Parts: sequence; C-alpha cells; structure tokens
Amino acid sequence: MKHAVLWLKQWLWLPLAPWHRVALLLLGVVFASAAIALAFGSGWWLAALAGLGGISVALAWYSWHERAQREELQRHLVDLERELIEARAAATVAMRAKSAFLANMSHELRTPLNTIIGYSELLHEDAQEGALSPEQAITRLQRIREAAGQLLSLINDVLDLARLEAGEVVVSRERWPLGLLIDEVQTAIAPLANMHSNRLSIDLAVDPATIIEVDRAKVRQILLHLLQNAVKFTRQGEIRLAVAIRDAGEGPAVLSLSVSDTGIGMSREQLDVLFEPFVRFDEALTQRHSGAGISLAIAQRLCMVMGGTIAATSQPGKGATFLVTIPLVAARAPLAIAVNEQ
Amino acid sequence: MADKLNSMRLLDRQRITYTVHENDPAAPDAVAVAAAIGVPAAQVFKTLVVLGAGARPALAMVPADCQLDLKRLAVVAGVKRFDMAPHAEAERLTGLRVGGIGALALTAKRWPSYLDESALMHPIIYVNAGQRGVMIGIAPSDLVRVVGAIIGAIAAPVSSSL
Repeated sequence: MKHAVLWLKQWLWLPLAPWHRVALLLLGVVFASAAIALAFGSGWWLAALAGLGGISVALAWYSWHERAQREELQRHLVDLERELIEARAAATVAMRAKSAFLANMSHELRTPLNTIIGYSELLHEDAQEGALSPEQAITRLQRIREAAGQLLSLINDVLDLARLEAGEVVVSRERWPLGLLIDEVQTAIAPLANMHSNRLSIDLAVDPATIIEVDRAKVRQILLHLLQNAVKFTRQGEIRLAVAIRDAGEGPAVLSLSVSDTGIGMSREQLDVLFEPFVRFDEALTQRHSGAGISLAIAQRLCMVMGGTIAATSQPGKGATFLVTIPLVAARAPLAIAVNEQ
Repeated sequence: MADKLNSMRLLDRQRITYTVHENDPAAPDAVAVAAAIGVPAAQVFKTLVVLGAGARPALAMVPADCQLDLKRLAVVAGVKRFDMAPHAEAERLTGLRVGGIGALALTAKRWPSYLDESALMHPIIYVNAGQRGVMIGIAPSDLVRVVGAIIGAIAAPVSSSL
C-alpha cells in the first residue's frame, strides 16, 4: 500500500503528457481486471491488492523507462555540446590559419609586385624624358625580371601546395637512371650555392647507372626544395647531398636522400613547426631570406604522397640535416591519390 | 622615448621589427593620432573592445577613419551579436585606458581578435602599444601572427552607416 501511494505520488508529480497518464491508467485497469478475474472467489481484498499491484508495476516500468530516456537524452546533449565546442575550436583554428595565410601571401606577393611597378615606372618616366642610359635600363629590366621570376615561383609553390593538400596530385611511376637526377639537381643548384660561396658536394653511394622506378619529377622537386632551403640559410659553408639505396628488410628497397648544410641551424621549437606552411622563424632572418615558408611544407607533402618519410635534425648554429626516404617499388599511396602506371 | 611597454617586449622576444611613434596623449581620436604621427588615417588601426552574449570579450581592429560594423563582425566571428563595450567596462576588462587599448598589449588574455582586411593593403599599419600616445608600426602579417587575429571585412566607412 505504501509503495502504491509512493508510486501514485510520483506519478502525479511526474511531468507526464495527459495521454501518457490515460494509457497508464488503462494499463493498470487491465492488470486489475485480470487480477480480479483470476482471483474471483478468493475474496475482495486479494483482487484489490492485485489491481493496485498492477498499477504499481505499470508506473514503475514507466518511470524507469522515462528516467532511462532522460538520461540518454542528457548524455546525447552533453556529447553534442562537446562536439560543438570542438567544431568551433577547429573552425577558429582554421580561420586563424586562413588569416595568417592571407596576411603572409599579401605581403609576399606585394614585395615583388612593388619592385616591378616601381622599376617600370622609373623606366617609363626616364624614357619619356629621354634621360635613360642603356646601362640603367638593363639594370632595371633585370630587377623587374628577377621580381617577376620570384613572383612566378611563389605562385607555383602555392598552387603546388594547394594541389597536394587537396589530394589532387597523381604519382607516376617511371624507370630512369639515378645519375640523371643528380645531374639535373647539380645544374640547378650549383650556381645558387656558388652565389653564397658555398661548396656543394654530392655523395653517391650507388652506381649512377642504376635504374630506379619512382616519380622522377617529384623526387627532383623534393631535392630542389631541400637544397634551396639549405643554400638560403648557409653562407660560406658546405651543402652536402648524399644518395643511397637501402634494403628495408621485408619491405621494398628505399631511396635514401640526405641534404645537410653547415648553416644557421634551428632550435627545438623551430623543428617542431618546420613543415607547417607559412611559418617563418625570425623576422631579422626572413628579411634577408625571402620566401613564404612553404617549400619545406611542399617537400614533406610530396614525400607523403609517394609513401615516403622526411625528417630533420638540427641545432642552432650547427647546420641542419634533412633525411628523406622514398620506397622504390609499390609505393604506398594514400587513398585519395591515384597511382598512374606508365 | 617612453619605457619599453609589454607589447614591445613581446615583439622583441619574437624578434619582430617594429617602429615606435609617440604623440600627444591628449589626441581626441585615432584620426588625430594619425595626423600627429604623420601617416594616413587608413593605416592607423584603432582597437575596440566588444562583448558578445556570455562569451569572452573580443578585440576588433579597424582603420581610424572607419567605424566597426558590429553585424559584420558577428558574421565573421560566427556569433549572434556583438555590442560595443562601454568605455568604463572596456577599461575595467583590459586594465588599459581608452585611447591606449591595443591588441599587442592584451595577448596574454587570449581574447579573440579580429583585424579589418584593409590592413593587408598596407606594408605597415599602426596600432596602439597599450598606452595613450604610443603607437607601434608593424607589418600586418606580423600583427596577425603575434595576436592570432582573424581577418575579415569588419569596418564600415563612417559616413555610410550614420
């Protein structure tokens, strides 16, 4: 009886919808009737007790069900809230990254564009006034050309990075002699290295005639980015490229490339964000060393696309070493990237 | 030359190049500051404190000759609405005097910061260093990086919104 009253109280107190109360009552009555029918002849008190018992059971079931539902809803709400907070934080991070990108790009694009505009205006004015000597014209045109080249390479880099991030890069497989790559890279880098009075040495641990099967354009691009980076931060030092092919036990053979320099090096914190695009470390440095800080990001993503790895070790003032490994056969490409058999 | 302010120490630590420009602390508004330090008003950015419902305060940086468009800021920030913080409230929250509020002096608070996109048109912009009469000239890309600012079209010309 006490229980029944308790349940009844709870039932009245519960914020139930009217049709719920009616349904519950009906359920109780059905139970009660069944009990009366069964207990007919056993005395009124047993029938009444059975009826009340029926109502109690119905209420107990309902209240348990309701509570379980409410708890489930509560849990769901908490989950949703957490997801919302996470999504919002991610969106803010993305917006900050976009803002940093915009700010850097506008700066990086404006610098060569201003050079082009400035020198062409000077040329125009002096030519109109007839005060232009051929030497002056040549120097200014050279400056314009350099700035335009800088702008073009920046735009190419940004587009490359965008394509890599969007997973739109196709890895092709072709067979070519390793020596070919080394010649190409040396031709492209040697003049740059000499400009800063650096020595460029290439340490080839394999026969240059060795035929390897890997995307040549991408390997070349990775090496150029790494070597250009090394040249950029090294003065009167040494830049060393070491090329080897290693057997990786059970897996495919690996092309191992190592680019080391004796330049200014990097701190632990700088190494941590090294492959993040648009991170440039030191304003005092970056004023001397132009660039949007995306070449290493491109190199890293190119390695990943080919199923390879890239790592860097460095100490401030003691140069840096970049180690790249690229599997030579059956490159493990991410799902988004189609492998184009040639 | 004033003593080094916290904002300048922060920039020194991060080895970011900046210039310091002092002017009469009694300048009535940011346009007057621009005139006093001899740069176009579009390159001087005033920092405004705004309040959203329940959220942390936010900082909005707009050119001296523009006003903050609260609706656009709310859209950029993805919140329902923002209101300007009253002067007294802005001073209480920032611990700085109105006219001397600058995002570079408030980085420790980690409030969301918004910068009007027109900043990207200039190689250098000028923002308050955290004290009336002291402005810092800095590249917009550096300001965005240090403050973690989000760029958006949040400014409106003064005439059109009156």
